[in-house]
Formats: sequence, structure tokens, C-alpha cells
Amino acid sequence: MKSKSFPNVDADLHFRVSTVPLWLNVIRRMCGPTNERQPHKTTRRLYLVVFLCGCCILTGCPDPPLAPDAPSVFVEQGVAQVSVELVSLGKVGENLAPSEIIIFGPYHKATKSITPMPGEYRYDHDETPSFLTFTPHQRISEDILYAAQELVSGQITEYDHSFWYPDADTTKILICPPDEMELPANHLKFYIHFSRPMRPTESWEHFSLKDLSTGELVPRPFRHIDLWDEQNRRLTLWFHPGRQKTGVNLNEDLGGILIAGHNYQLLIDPEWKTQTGRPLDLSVKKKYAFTVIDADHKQPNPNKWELTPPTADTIEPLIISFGEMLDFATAGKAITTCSSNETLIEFSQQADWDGTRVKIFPSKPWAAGDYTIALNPRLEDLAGNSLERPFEVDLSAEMTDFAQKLTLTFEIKQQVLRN
Amino acid sequence: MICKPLFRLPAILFLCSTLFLTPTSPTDLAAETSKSILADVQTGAVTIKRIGRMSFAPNGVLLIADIGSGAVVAIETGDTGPVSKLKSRVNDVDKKIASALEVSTDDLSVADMTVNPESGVIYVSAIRKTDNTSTIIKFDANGKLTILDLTDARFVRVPLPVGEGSQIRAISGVEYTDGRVLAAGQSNEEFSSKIFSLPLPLTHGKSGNAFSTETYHVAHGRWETRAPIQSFIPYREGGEDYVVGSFACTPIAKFKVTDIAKDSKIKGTSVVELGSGNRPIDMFTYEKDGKQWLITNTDRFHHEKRPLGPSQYWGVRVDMSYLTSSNINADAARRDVSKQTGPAGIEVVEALFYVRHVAKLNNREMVILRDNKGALDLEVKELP
Repeated sequence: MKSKSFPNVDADLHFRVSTVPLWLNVIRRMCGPTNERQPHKTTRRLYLVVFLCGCCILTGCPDPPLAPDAPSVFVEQGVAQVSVELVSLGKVGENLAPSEIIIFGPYHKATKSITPMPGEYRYDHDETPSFLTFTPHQRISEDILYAAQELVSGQITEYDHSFWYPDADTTKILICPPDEMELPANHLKFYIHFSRPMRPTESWEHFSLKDLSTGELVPRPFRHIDLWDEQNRRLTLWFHPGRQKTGVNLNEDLGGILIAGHNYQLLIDPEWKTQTGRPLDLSVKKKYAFTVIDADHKQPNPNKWELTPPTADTIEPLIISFGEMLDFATAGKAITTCSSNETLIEFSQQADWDGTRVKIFPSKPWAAGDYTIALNPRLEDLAGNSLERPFEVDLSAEMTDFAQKLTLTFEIKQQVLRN
Repeated sequence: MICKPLFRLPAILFLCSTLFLTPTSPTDLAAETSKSILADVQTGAVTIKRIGRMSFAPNGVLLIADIGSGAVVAIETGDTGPVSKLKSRVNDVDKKIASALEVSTDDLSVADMTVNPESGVIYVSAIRKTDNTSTIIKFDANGKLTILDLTDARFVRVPLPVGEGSQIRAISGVEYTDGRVLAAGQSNEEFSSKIFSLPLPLTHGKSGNAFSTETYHVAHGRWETRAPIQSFIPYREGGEDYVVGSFACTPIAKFKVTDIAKDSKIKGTSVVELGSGNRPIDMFTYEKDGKQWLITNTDRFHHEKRPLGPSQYWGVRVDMSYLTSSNINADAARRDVSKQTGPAGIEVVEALFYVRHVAKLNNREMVILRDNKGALDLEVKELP
């Protein structure tokens, strides 16, 4: 199956809350990312630049005093990036570990405390870094108030997704598997992510499937069931399994829903309302298309997966590439345990949107050594074939043991120190 | 001294009257009698995140599937009779409910309908789409509508146990049977379906020794797949408890309740095939003239192309002796789709055309919620 970069359906966001004097912001804004939504920004900047120039002339142009900067938060497709300008930290910053400079996580406003999320720190340059960036391992939830804190001065930048997506904005939709993919003829389900809660009843009525090869709508392709997450923001939309299963009456009478070689388009009713009553707008007519290939009756095979081990003493993720698109939701729970010398390692995992990879993040830096990971037998491919068993078992066949390999091993080598 | 017995007699009569004639409210009585079913009963507001199927346990205990939180909620309604069934048809039930909830019918979703056999009171579960509020509406014998007060209720909530990281996000049925409550649920991720056995008493906040079993279906005796249960009922036969259910792919199947065991796997035995393209909705059994029958109503997929009758909603009754037949799976009895009746003991029920939900009142009558040109009517009908 071909893979493709995921479409950017979520708006890029910059958010910066300043808690320092405006004149300091002027300096900051000249090199930092901008926030397009701040009113009168250009005007304000102009006035302040003029004011500062005036100050420079009057005082013999001393270097403007630097003060620690408030961190900026940038979110794309749920992945946050927090950055802070190191120059504003001065000498203090040089002797601090990254985790002593910025933290990011759920924010308890009453106590002004942040629960730090595990993640990855990066400098923009090895030799003379000017920015430190932090990327949390887990995607952020739009229902939670987050904040970043620059620990030298204690400055906090709040990040409230709902602030940037008031109801007047378009509801974003993200579908897994992504757009323009090749899906097997026995494909089972889509995960439809919405940027805000939807009205959850009779959800299947808001979808239709068009066979682009014939120009016809496919009659009643979806199962009549509402399968939502707790926030009514992720819908699991099933094709009717009775038509996707071999030998079941619907499949025999009507055939499968998808025909190999045909192109299809999944359509969403733009009048479908969010929980607050606002209809999705016409932009949801954006094409979500896919091409159908032969049915997939094979179980995922861990022997064919590729493991990219992390570097010792880092919290880089272990990356497991499946070599095919697997079910997005179960791919995010692909690993049940990770251990080294029979000691369990704390970790979190995150699947790529297209289900081709899962990343395993340790809560502490990896130590060099041999590791064993246990696989979730429920991990499925797009056609419902799991590590445990194929979606359909032919009882007339001789094969009765379908269990796939459920452990994988990898080694993290000791870093070689060079003088 | 002589008068003493004269004083004693009224005193004894008075004491007797206080013992035997003190009025007991139905709620107190229900609370007393439902003790064996519920434990650690909570008092106050009961939150139902998204309401789904409902059914009645004894003593006016209403069992509710809370789809939104993957839990079974049991409410002591205090509605324990006596029986007073709906006297005449109630038209435009959906409009009446929508009006009571101060929304239009477009913003109303009716989830289920059931009837309390101990009182004849009809209960409809509905969701107000505008704020996703779940509501239960009662209709008494006169068709008078009242909203069940969920702000001051006696209830227990039992979460369905979640295993291996999967989440139960649809509950296709919740039913009481002797000694347990059964619930069928589906994951919103992997393709699996489970039936849960919740031991009695249902205890607030505790799944206890509840266990679940995955359900499978075999097509043509050859292709075995996991299969979600669409609707089901408990059923007793030959001293053994069974679950009679329908899978999403239509056949009526049965399996033993004792097969619902930890980490086990249930394969339903197909006993009757209704014909493809039908989604069973409700089920119940009744006895007539010494014979057991199963009633089920379905939503027909193929109605536009191959109509069975005037509506996509239709129903059938099946002679329960088919459930003990040795002809199963590929050899299971198949309804003759070209006729209203046949083979013998499988009959289309005229009264179930247009019926969205049906519930058993007694062995002679059923309550139906019928689609009437887009509106919904409530009515008691004779069983065939």
C-alpha cells in the first residue's frame, strides 16, 4: 500500500501570552514567530519601535536589556511544540539541563501549576543554540488547558485550544486512514476525528459513499451504530460487516461494498451539526477519496516489521514500522509491555495517523542493553485481521493455529565516547 | 377492674391497625423488594451520558444502557403496579415528547421503548440533540406523559468491565434473568463484541465478578468471524438458561448462559434465518395455547429494492420449537422470503409493519411504537 504525507487539515497555531512589559515584546517580536490574531499588532509594534529608537538616540544606543522570554506554543495536528529563546536567558541558561528551562503539560489554573508531560528536547544548533524546543510525546487533547513554563523566570504561556477554535470557526475533520490511500476491498472502518463534539445520534445518516468509477452512490454501505469516544469527537464508522464477510447472506446477496480497482469518495453531510448546533460547513465536501485494491486476508506479520532502536541515554522513541497500514486505534496500543532483564520499562506509545508506525517513548532515558516487547494480540490491520486470528477463519482449512509471534526483541548499544 | 378488658380490646385493635393498616408507599415497597437485585443504592441525581436500550427487572427496577459511559444503570422507579394498560392509541408521541423537552422533533432522537409488565406504564428513552441530554418519558394508561425525575432517583451504576484496553461504546441490549443481568456491548476500536454477565445484586460502582465472552458467528458452517449481537433475550429450556440473540448479520442464534465464562469464546448456533438485509431490533417470547413463540421486529435493508410489505419496519413470529431443532447453522430453518408465512411456524406479523419498537406487556398483548408517516404512535396490540 502506498503511503502519503497526511493532509494538513488542522490549522497551524501560534499562541503567545506575554507577561512582560510591552517594550520587551518589541524586541522579541522582531525575531520570534508572530501571532496573526493579535489585534493592532503592527500598529503597536510600529509605535514601540519608534519609541525604542528614540530611547536609543537619547541614551547613546545602549543594548536593550534582555529579559527571559515567555515560551511560545505551536500546535499542528495535535502535536505541540514549545520553544523558548535561549539568548534571553543569558548565562543562566548555559548551565541548565533542557528540562530545567522549559516544561509543558496540563495546567491547573487555580494553583498555577503544570503537570509536565514527557517529551523530547532539541536545540536548533549544536554549537551555539539560540532556541530550545520541546515536543511532548503524546498528542494534546483539545479539552484540556495546557501551559508552558520558562523555568528561569517562571513565565507561563497558557494554551487553550478552545480559545483558538471558537464556534465561529470551521470544524476540522481528520480521517484515518488518510486521504488518497489504497484500501483493501474488505476494509472495515474509518475513524473520523472532529475538532469539536458532534451530535452523536444516527451518525451513519450523515455519510455516503460514492463509487467514482461508476458515478453511483453505494446503497447502504454503513452499519447503523453510533460508536463514539467519550467526548463525541471521534466516530468509528463501520462498513456493514455483513457485506464484508465471506459467506454471510448479505455478502452473497449483494456482494461486497468495495470493488477492487474502483475509486471511491466518502462524503460527509455539511448540515450535520456540532453539539452546539453549528452545521459543518461546505468545506467538508473536501474530497476524501481512496482506491480499492484486492481484499486482505493475511494477518499482520511481526517478523516483517522493522525496528529502529533509539540511542542509549536518550528518550528518543523506539520506532516500529509495520510495512503496511494497520488500524489506527489498535496500532496506538500495539505494545503491552516493554522489559529489559525482566524489569518492566514505563513507556507511552503513539501511532502515526496512517497506522504504518508506532513510536515507543520511555519515561526515562533508555539504558544500553537487550529489550523485549510484548505485542497486543488485538492489533488489527484495516480488514480486521489481528495478530490473534484472521478476520475470517475458514473452518474447512487444516490450519488451526493462527497466533502470530507476540514478542519482539531489540538491542540498544552503548554509546561510544569520542575524545 | 371490671372495665379493664373493655379498655384492652380497643387498645389491641388500635395496635393491630397500626401494624397492618399503616400505608406503605410504592417506593418504599419497591425499595424493600428490590434489595435482592440492587446493592449500595445511591440517592440523588443520576447522570446518563447517552441513553440507549432499556428493559425491566422485577419490582419496578428499570435497567438502562448508558452507551456514553459504557455502563448499566438500574433505577428503582417505584412503579410496581397494579397493572393498568394504555387505554387507547397515543398519536404523535414524538411531537409530544419534543414539546415536553422544548425542542423540535428534528432535535429529538428516540432510542428505545419498553413497558413495565407490573404496571403497564410505558417508558421511552430519548435524547435531546441540542444539548445531548438523555431523558426517560413515561406514558400512563390515559396516555398522559410525564418525565421520569432523574434528579432525585434511587439507582446503581455498574460500569461494564473493560479489558485489554478496548472500550465498550455501544450496548445493544440489557436484560434481567434469574440470578444475573446480561448486557451485550461492542468496542469502538477492534472488531469485537462481548456479552457481559453481571451478578446480582447489581452493586453501585462495581463490576464485581462480571465477565464477558466474545461472540462469534459461523456462516455456512465454514466461515467463522467475530460477530456483534444486535438484540437478545434470556430464554429457559429444559432446565437450562440460554441467550437467544440475533447477530448483526441476521440469523437468530442461541447459546447457553453458562457458556458466558471468563476468557471463553461463544459460537452462536444459528437456528432460524430470516432472510438477508434485515436488522433485528427487539425480541421477546410469549406463550399462547401452550406453545412458545418468539417475536422480533426488524429494519429491512432491502426494502426499496425488494419490499416485504408496506414498510421497511416489519416483524415476524417464530415457533420456539425451532430453537431446539437439530437443524442448525447451514441447515437452519430459512424463512420463505417469497411468502408471508412459511415454513410452518415462521409468520410475518401484520401488526408489526411500520413498528420501530415493540415490547411485551403480557402473553396476550404487546406495546408498539409505530411509524405513522414520519410521526410516532404508541398503541397496545393483541399478540398473534
